[in-house]
Amino acid sequence: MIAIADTCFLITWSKYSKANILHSLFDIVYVPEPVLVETKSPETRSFVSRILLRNGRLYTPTPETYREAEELIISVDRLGIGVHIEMPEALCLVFAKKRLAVVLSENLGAYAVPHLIDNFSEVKVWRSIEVIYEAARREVLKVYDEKSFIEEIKIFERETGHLIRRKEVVKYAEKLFPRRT
Amino acid sequence: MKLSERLEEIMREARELRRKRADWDFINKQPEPIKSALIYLIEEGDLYVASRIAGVTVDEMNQLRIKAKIPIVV
Repeated sequence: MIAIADTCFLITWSKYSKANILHSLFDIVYVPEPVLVETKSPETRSFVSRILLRNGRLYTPTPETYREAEELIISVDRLGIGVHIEMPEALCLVFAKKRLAVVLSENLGAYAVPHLIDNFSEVKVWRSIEVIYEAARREVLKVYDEKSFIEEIKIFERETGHLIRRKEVVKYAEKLFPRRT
Repeated sequence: MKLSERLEEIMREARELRRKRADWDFINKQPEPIKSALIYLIEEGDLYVASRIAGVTVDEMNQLRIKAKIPIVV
């Protein structure tokens, strides 16, 4: 399985103590070149560098990809439903569609695209909650019960300054540990 | 519930959480365009666009976000 990460996702995960689960989940993690321009802190640069050293690859979008990404941005805007995406996420989505990659992004617009745009319906977008859930499901990340999964999410929130809606946390906790009735 | 209504509800809920948790004293003390960028981030939740408004990198905008106690709501 391959993935491509957007800027915000990488900046976020540079602060998470268990970010190495990305290496176990994905064979290759593509880092778009524009991401490097947006990362200046030693912490984030060091994290991106570690990804590139292990199983990462720098991805330089072509002019054609930029054109397709621009088309996608306009298609989302035309829906007129208040969600939008910007060029960094659009480039990841176009790449993912062509290469069957998972997009790693926290952007709501990017997450909604497969549900909104017909020819992107096969694209998978994982936010941090889905990455942590998949890591737990594949036992890359050890969680033993609903409580320890929720505790792991709290650690993620504390370390990254993110806030994952409780409904989402409960949904994935119940998927991992279905309640017996 | 239609997908568009669901998305609207998620965006509203996220906006309320960002407004509530933000450190408004810190935000109000910031010079322009940082202050406007932080307010945009609270209202829209888009770190990339906020960084363009502030004229800084996404990484630097994220540091400002943390200082302003604005959560990224997922």
